[in-house]
Amino acid sequence: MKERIFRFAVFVFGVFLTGGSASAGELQFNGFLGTENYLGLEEGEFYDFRNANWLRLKLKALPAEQAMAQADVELRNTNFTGVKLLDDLWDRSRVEPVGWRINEAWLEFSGFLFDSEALTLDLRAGKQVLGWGEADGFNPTNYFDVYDLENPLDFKKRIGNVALRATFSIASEAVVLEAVLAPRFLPSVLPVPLFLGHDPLHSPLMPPLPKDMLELIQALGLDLAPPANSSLVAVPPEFTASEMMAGGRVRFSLAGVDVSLVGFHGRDNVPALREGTLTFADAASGRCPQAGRSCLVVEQVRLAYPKLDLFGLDFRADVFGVGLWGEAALVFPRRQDAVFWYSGSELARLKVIEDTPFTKWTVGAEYTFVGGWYFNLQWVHGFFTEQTGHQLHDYLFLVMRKSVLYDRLQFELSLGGELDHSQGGRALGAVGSAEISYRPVDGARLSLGAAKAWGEEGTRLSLFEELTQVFLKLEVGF
Amino acid sequence: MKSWYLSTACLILISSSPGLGIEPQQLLEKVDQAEFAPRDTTAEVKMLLIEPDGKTSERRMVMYQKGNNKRLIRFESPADVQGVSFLDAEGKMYVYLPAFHKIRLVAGSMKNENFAGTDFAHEDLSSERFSDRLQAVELREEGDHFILTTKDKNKDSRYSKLIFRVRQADFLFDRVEYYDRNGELWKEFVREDFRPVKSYTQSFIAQMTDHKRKHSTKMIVEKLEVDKNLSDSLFSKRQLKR
Repeated sequence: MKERIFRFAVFVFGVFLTGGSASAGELQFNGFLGTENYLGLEEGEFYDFRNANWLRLKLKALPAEQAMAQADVELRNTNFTGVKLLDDLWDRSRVEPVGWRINEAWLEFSGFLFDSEALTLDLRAGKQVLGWGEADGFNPTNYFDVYDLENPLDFKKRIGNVALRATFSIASEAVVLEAVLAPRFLPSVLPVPLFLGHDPLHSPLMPPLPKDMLELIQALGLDLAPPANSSLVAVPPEFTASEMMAGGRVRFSLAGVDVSLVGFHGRDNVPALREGTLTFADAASGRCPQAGRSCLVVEQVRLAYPKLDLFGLDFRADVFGVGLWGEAALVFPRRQDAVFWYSGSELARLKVIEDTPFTKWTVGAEYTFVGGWYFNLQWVHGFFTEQTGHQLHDYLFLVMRKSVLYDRLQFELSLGGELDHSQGGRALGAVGSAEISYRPVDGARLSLGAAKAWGEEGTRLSLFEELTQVFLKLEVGF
Repeated sequence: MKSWYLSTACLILISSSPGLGIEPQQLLEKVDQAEFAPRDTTAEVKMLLIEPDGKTSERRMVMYQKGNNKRLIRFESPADVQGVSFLDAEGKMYVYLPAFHKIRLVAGSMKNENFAGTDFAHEDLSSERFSDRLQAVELREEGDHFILTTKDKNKDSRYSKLIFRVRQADFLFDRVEYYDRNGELWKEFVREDFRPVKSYTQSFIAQMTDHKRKHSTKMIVEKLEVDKNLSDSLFSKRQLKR
């Protein structure tokens, strides 16, 4: 698989370099070299220290007025070694794994078949980020661009999927219709160790277990041992035509407000529990949480990506100088049950995803005060890991930003609060980060920051508590 | 009510310019005719951001303009701003931020802020006709120039007045002074190196100085083409991303 990716990267470079030599003026090239270092301050297993270094190259080719190709490829390594066997120490690629990433690679034809003021058709094919949704970071209408939470607090970073996109512009963009077909499913990159914590049974990726099953286990005088992270399997959908994801969007302006209507058919990019097997373990086995007590160990846990359809709406407007936006999705999930097996028999069945429609939404406002202080406030109803109606929590995020010294020095403070009513009570959580960026010379940026999260039990933000960290990033563009 | 009559009377008094043979608002319209004379303009521009200690940052961009209501600006270098684009069309301003793959409507409060680290506020980049945006209030003569004082019709503008120095020979301005709400000089836009391009006259060097920030943005036009019959579709959101 890695070899195929490498070959593809070489092919992409080859295409661009050929185009460049044919018409050098039509080739644009730039790149970034960067390093980032995260130092954990909270005791835990997540990111005590993480270092990542990358070389990112962006190429844009305009071989003809109506054709354009773009690639964004990245060579990256982290401080995590791939050595497992003693023999691996002989292999530099395992000692220090380096990965190629293709962030984007697409071709676009403008004015394909139709090219007039009345009707224009643009076709774009390849790996691409669609950028759907007016909200910042939390886009409930956009399941095509999956989350890249390698940095667990960077909710704006997205990974593009392979897709064919047709864009019809009618009457000089008075109405724009987009149709997208994504032939393969792509899951989000998730901070799984952070989310699962020490007890995967109490993580947001796991629903509360059936009450009757827990009561039965208790009545038998047994404990329940959580699964090891290595026994959790996320099963991707099959590569079949019926698994293709499809979506459409209509954009228009109504009374000065930019509006989009969205439809999507596909799968959630965050997995949900599908089945698990319970195995009896004797007190002497050493696998049970309490010494001297036998238990049932949850094993062979399988998760699947829930199917869903959605209808969405988003808007953005300028009201008395305030930028306002909203994005809402009416989600029609397909029911997904989780079955627990014991000795080959069904022990319990749990409704993980209900087939009841629910709404996720984000509303926000931005304002720049005289003097350059930028404020961005967003109310989010439904985190991206919340997949069924009664799970939805509410979140408020505030970002404040100010640049000084001719934009060379920038301060950014981000604060988030969570309110969880889903348990019947009221649980609170909070997250905050501060970052100072400095551009000592043109094109170079140095960022120093810190992040801390806190949350009462059951809140999503409590999951980020282990993420308390300071970080240093350096990036140079060329 | 009485005060309204008084202010109107004052405005009429200072608006009339006896002896010059032209009314202030008429001159502003003449400036519009001269400035927007080409049907369209395409300019490749080298931009220098100059700090008080002489430290300079260089950027390159392409500017397209059609008529008086369409303008598209796209940064081509350096890497951290490449692809950042600005569109002013049909009374709305949009910015494309390639890092997020998003086209954003520029909110009114943002229009007063500087665009991409330059000394131009978003509202300075508006392609709207001056006579639509501004009310001419005073006119006088200074050598071979007209000195035209205007007020912004938009109450949200952070400028109290703009003073144009207009060349009598061709009605092109070579200097604009921007005053803040306290009446103090804030910015100064100076144009020079006027050259004939086809049947028009165009400036090839312009500099915006922000006296409060003590910072300047110099624009040097490296290539200028006019009347290329640019399509209206160039000034669209789909083109912002290209």
